Amino acid sequence: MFIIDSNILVSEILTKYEKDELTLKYQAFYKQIPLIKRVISDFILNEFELYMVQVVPSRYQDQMSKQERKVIREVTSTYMEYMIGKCTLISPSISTIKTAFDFYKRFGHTHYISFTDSLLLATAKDNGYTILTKDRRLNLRAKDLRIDCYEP
Amino acid sequence: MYKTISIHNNTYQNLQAIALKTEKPKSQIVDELVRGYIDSMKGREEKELQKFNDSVSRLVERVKLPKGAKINTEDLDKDFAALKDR
Repeated sequence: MFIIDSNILVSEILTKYEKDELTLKYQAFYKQIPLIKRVISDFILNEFELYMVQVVPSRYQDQMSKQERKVIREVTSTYMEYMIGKCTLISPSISTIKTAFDFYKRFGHTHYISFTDSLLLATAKDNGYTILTKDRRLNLRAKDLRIDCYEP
Repeated sequence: MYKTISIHNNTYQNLQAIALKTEKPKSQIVDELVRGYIDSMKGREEKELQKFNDSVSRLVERVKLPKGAKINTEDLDKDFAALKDR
């Protein structure tokens, strides 16, 4: 079972705008993972939605029409609907949230990671999932914690 | 991995009976049953995945960013940080 990071989801939706070899390898791998084996967490959906609906339009605010921004919101909502309907959903338990905060504090002194990334690590660790992320720093932290992660 | 689940008493009794009959640990019986269930779902799962990927491809085509736009998803945190500065 693979717990999917938001960068994989963004990369799939914005695939026309990211064509490097590594991204294509990640996407080819992601596309063949059975839906039942794709684990999607609430906090990852939140991060994905924020990125698509807030960050992307903000980055291109002067160059995107109202209609184009509306399409992004619609596409984001439909994509989330597909995932919620077809993939395996998970929400972190209280003990996972506490584990995540331990990771957050532990790495905060040496290699900062966001609390969302800490939650992803803790959810993977507590449930024995393999992490699928394009974030190299996160893969390194996963290795530190002996959590499986996919690398092409 | 140790995880607790709640199951019907009948289910547990049947699991114990199968384990005794086959001389296998109960955990192995559960593993094999789940594997069998997953195998039986394989054909349907493949069709669903194909349909899902096709639907996503159609969605992707609808997204239009400005000409020359390039995205780098290796470090989304950086993009979130940039949002604060705007």
